[in-house]
Amino acid sequence: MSFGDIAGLWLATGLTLFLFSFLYRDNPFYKLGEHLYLGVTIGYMLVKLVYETWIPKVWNAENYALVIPPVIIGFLLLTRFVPKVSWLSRWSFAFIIGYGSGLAIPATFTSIILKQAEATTRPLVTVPTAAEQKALEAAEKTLADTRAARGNEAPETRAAEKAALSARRSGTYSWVRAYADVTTIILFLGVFSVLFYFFFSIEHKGPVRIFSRVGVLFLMIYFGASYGYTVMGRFALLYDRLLDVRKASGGDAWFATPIILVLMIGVLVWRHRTGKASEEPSH
Amino acid sequence: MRALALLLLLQAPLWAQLPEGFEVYDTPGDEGSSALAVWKALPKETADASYVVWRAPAKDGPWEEVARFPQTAGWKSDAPQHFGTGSGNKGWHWASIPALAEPGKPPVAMWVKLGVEGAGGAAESAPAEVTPVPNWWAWNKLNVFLFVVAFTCVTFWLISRARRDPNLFIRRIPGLDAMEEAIGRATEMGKPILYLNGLNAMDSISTIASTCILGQVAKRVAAYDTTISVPCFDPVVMGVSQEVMREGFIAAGRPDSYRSDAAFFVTSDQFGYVAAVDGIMIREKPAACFYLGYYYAESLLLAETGATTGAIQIAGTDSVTQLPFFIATCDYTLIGEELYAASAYLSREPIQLGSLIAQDWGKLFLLAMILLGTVVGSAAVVFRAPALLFLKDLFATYS
Repeated sequence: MSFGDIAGLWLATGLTLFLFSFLYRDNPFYKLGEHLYLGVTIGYMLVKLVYETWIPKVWNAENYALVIPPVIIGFLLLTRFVPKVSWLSRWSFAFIIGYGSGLAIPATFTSIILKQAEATTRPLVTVPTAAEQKALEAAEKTLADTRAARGNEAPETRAAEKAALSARRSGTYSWVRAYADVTTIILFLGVFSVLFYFFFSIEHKGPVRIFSRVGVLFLMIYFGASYGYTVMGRFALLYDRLLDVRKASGGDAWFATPIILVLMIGVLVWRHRTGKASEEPSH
Repeated sequence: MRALALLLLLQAPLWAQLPEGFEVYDTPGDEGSSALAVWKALPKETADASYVVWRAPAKDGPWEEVARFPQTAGWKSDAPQHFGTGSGNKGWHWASIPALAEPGKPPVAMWVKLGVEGAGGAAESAPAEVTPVPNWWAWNKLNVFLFVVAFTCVTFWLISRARRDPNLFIRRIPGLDAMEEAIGRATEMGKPILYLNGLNAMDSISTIASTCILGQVAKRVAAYDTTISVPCFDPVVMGVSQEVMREGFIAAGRPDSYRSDAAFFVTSDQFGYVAAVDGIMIREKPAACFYLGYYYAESLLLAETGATTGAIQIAGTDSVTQLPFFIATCDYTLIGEELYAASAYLSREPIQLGSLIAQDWGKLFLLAMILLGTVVGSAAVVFRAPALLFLKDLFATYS
């Protein structure tokens, strides 16, 4: 590992441990990490804005006539710094909110409301189609013919049995089909009851209350499942970070993790003993 | 001589049959990004043989392959967004051909040809010219347009009704009743209120709803003469927050108490913002924390830190993946649409009230359509009625 790599590892490990020290209480290490993080992100954002937006899209624009109106709207935002003309910034805000709503409403309508409605609009019961029933009859006939010609134990008979079984699943009202139908009915009930919960202009009492409570139950089941799923993902991120910290604890990284940890603990104990830590708020 | 003729015959390619009705035309209702090619299915098609579509900037090439699929796929009936649900789609194939021109650039003509490849040999059609051009109207979104127009008319009508009768009924929302309590608690404790607008920009519906609620919260903050802190993730949201707070303070008759630095920009980096807001929570120990808007992975980090400081916490978001975390850590949570209803509920202004009731009407219409679609779809399946199946397809496409 080069000296640059090791310095990078020390910095990453140190900042990780500084930010994790927040779990103990607010302390100078966390403050250092927090302010460094903020400063770096704002600096990075500013440079990105200049090099990815201002220079290519405004300074080197292909058609300046198209760029001038948005630039004027943007500059109007800066009038907030001059109290006498700060009202001009409202024009920009009105434009931003107006075009934002104009773009968001049809997009939300198409991508969320209509898609959801389309996905919910399903037959509650399914019956075998004429083609599926025909396929079943053909499969049964093939099985009977194969049995008669080859006997019960022949590999061809086994294959025909398999095909007939598969055809029976789709060609008759099987458990698989019933399970799918029950799922559709539960989904339909869930969507209806949840939407009822979000009715604001009718009082939730009597049957409406019962139905909307069913909706709340559906919501809570979903939230519980979503919580567990996301927490699992977050633990994976934590393990990943801890693995990096562990990687930096070996001799090839000049024992970054243990050295930084010992130094941090030493400083925190010293501050606690001298009473300086009490000036900082705890959780 | 006979031997030579036989040899030539053996080495000649076997010509596959070409489909009839090959036609190329500009995709209707798009931004000029593609063209459509359609052709009639061959009498005998197999999964082993393929259709291939090429495009070129000139009639003589260079040709570039843009689509290839087995003869048993690529049916017009599978793309109702382009061809509708009519029975005329049966037995026709289609392919989408990307335009040569880049988006926003002037349209460029291109040449398209169809090929058939399989065990029986290969064949190519004569090239056809097409120029994909941008269209003003996306006809496949006509249903969205009509619904938005109808919804807007209903909203205006309900607003005028709310103006005549401001006592229109809205059911109780516990999380919003608790806002008053939280502001009162902060006043009694002499501690600030922390209000977060979420991480989305001003073009997000949830951020717009959040700033509307901030206006109502600012009115009460001004009336109770308490302090409020609004760390912002986006500079434009900060500007809007300052404006709505100023309006709130003026409406409460306390313009002198308004401080423009109450809403301030932190950073537009997700976890940098979290680090800063968590630090503010620990150091200032607000009595009440409001998290209203759209949140991502930072929701639990914020709400958990707020919970450890003992603040009363009220959250509201339409981010379904983050709602469980707010429900687990906050005292009250506005779920999804309750966030949009909040401002109308708090202010009872006719415009907002009318819009809220219009939303209920919209939901009722949607429920009726889903119910009708489900009944029609179920009946179509049970009675195997082709006419009803067509209706079912219609719902699936345009609902």
